[in-house]
Amino acid sequence: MVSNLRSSRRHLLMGAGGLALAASGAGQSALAGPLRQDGEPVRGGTATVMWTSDFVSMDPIHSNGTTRAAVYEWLLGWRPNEAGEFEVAPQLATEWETSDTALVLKLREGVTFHDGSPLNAEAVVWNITRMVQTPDSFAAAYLQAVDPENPAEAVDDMTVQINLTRPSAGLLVSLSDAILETAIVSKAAADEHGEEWLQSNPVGTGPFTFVDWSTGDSLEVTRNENYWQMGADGQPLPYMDGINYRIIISIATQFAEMRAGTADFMRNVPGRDVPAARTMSDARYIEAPWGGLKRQYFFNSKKGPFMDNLTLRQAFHHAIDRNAVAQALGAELGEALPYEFVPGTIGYDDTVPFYEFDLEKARAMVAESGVATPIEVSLTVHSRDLDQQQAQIIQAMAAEAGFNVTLDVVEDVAWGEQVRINNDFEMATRQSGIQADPTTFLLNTWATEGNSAYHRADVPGLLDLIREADSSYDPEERQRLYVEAQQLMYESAWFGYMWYERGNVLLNDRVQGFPEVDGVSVSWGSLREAEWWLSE
Amino acid sequence: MTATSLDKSVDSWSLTGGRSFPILRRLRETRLVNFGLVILGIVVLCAIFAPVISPYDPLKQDYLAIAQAPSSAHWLGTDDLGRDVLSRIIYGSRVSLQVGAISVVIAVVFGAVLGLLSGYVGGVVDEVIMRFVDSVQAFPGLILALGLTAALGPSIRNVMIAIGFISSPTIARLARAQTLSIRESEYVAAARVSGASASRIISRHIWPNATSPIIVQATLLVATAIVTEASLSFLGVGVQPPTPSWGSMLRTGSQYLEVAPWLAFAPGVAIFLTVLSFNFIGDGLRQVLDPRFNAR
Repeated sequence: MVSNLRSSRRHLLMGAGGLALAASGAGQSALAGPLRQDGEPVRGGTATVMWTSDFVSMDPIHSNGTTRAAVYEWLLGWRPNEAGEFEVAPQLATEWETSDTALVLKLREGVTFHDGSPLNAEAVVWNITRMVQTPDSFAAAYLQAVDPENPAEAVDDMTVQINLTRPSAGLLVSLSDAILETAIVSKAAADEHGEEWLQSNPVGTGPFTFVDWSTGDSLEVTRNENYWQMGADGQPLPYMDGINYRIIISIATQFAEMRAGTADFMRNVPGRDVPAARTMSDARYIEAPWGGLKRQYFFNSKKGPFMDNLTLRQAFHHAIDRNAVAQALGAELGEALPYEFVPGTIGYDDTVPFYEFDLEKARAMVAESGVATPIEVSLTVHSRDLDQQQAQIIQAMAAEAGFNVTLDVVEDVAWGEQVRINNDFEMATRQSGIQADPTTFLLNTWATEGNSAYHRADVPGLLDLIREADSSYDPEERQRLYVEAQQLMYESAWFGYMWYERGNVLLNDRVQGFPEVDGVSVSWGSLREAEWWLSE
Repeated sequence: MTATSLDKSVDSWSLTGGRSFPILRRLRETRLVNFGLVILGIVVLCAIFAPVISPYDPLKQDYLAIAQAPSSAHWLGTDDLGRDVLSRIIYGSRVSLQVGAISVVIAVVFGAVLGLLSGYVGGVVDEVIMRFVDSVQAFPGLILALGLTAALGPSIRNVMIAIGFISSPTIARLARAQTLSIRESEYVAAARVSGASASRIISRHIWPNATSPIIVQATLLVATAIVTEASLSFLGVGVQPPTPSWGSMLRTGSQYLEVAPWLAFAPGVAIFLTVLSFNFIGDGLRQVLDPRFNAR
């Protein structure tokens, strides 16, 4: 199986090709160096990690965001190799073998869940099955190549076979800690308490165990004394006694907490505060190339003025000056991005057409659309400060072309319910991260139904192209198919691609062991808190 | 004392009565009230003539002039979207005064009706109304307003309703206390004996004589209402963007404290001065209208 493992890795790298290019943009040479670590690890202490979005659910398959990573683990990890290329790595699975019809994983021996039950094939088969078959599962979107009728089966007590309906280049990434929704939970806990119980009581195999969760406020976890992974001192990880995750929506407040030294971690420092962050005396600013955020807006295909009017959608796109938005909101971190794909990742091609800012053209197309002006439209916006600022810019720009945009500002959970679950909006904005593999993200984004859908439009041939790209292990073929898919995205005009904000994190100097190399973060998805230690 | 003489006695302290000028004159004799009236006058003028005196369109964005420091072009600088802060402060006065005035009118109407009924009818009606008032007052005002606005939906109209609702118990208690006192007066007894209906007694004899303390309280409530509106807008459930309101400007300014502190300073000062002016005027009114102050 070892030789197959290598083969699998090669396949994955081809499948996710371009990730290394993303790394090179942030300093590939740095990635090949040693992780920053000052002195020998010290045990004890509790870190305070700030998070912008509230935790939706503690059950990974019912949560569409934020982290429970410290409590859970995944079948695979997503780690950079010495060349700076991200690839799948062993986690709960130690070996794996792919074929066109199945993925076979050998599980790690001696791992137990926090409730004491063993990690075995039965537990993993149950996990994969519920990920795929549970009606409201967010994880299902990442496992679309898995056979929905017979998702998985136990080969023996420690070997699992996941059955596929087609080859999938993105499947291994989907099962890694780059994708939070596919974490492995305790079957025994679900059997004892019911699956509903898991939504507020996470039971995983991770380095920290759950203590308390207060909605909209905090999540507290403490050391898992029985964690399987060893630290540099020969003792089981984690080094820290616990972590307190605090929900603080306001980035400015988070920044003030960092300045006051009352918190240890924040991410996505806004561009305006980056100069101050770089010079903060007791914290260090770290570039996080894979923690960047794309900003987009989209129209609802089921209601509102854009649902059946392509010309109107195109007019709106021409009214938006994405360079101005990026400059106004991103400062030194902002870059206009007219595509779904970020430069350096698979699928990016700057020859793909896009809607350029052209106000006169926008006005002409509004007139051509046959809709009387001003055109009333409601824009559903997340309550994050930057989202509200962005919405006001969109509002002002669209007004120049004849749109009267009213803002519907809602908080995180309500946004998810209103837009993605209930389809109760006319147009909305969203932010999204950079994907380890684009397949699932695109299938989600362009889904015509389900609780993860956005505009719900049916663009003939698009989903087939994305699936075809996922089914190929040839990076050139994948690139060609993604470019072809982008042509359809452009023509249908459901999405407005605006700008991209490069990622970063701000870390209190007392935190050591953070996965960084020469000021560049090498974490993707999981923050790998088990490896952190506090110097004081 | 006859009913007629008592009526006259009360009337002499009425702002709306024939001898109101001495009250205004006495008000103006107080230095702090003068200060309050001047500030309030400026705010009112800003609100009325905002389109004329604002140097820029308060919604006009300039992406090349984001968060700029005060200058000759922009006296109070520009905000996060390059809008002129002074213009937004001027237009924001409309929101503050509108919310302050209308929410207090709501509070006075709702609270006075409850208080008058409770005090005059008494018995079970009094018990029910007062327990309702107690239950409303049991909640912290801002939390209740936050909940109401969140439930009704964030908008200026709902902010006014929420603030009016949470302010009404204060007026209700005051109106009830006044009613309990006045209903025992000889002239009310005389009116009752002469066959006047309850509604006539309340509207013609009790209410006119109960207004003075309510006017004082309402003036002070305007200040509270302005602060509450600013708080709700600061928390994101008040006036929605891009409408300029001092509270939402303060919220935006708080995001830029590191790089553009003037964004928070300007609306902060505007709120401070306006609230201060209402408090000075309210205190002045109390001194003029409250017999206990007059006795000194």
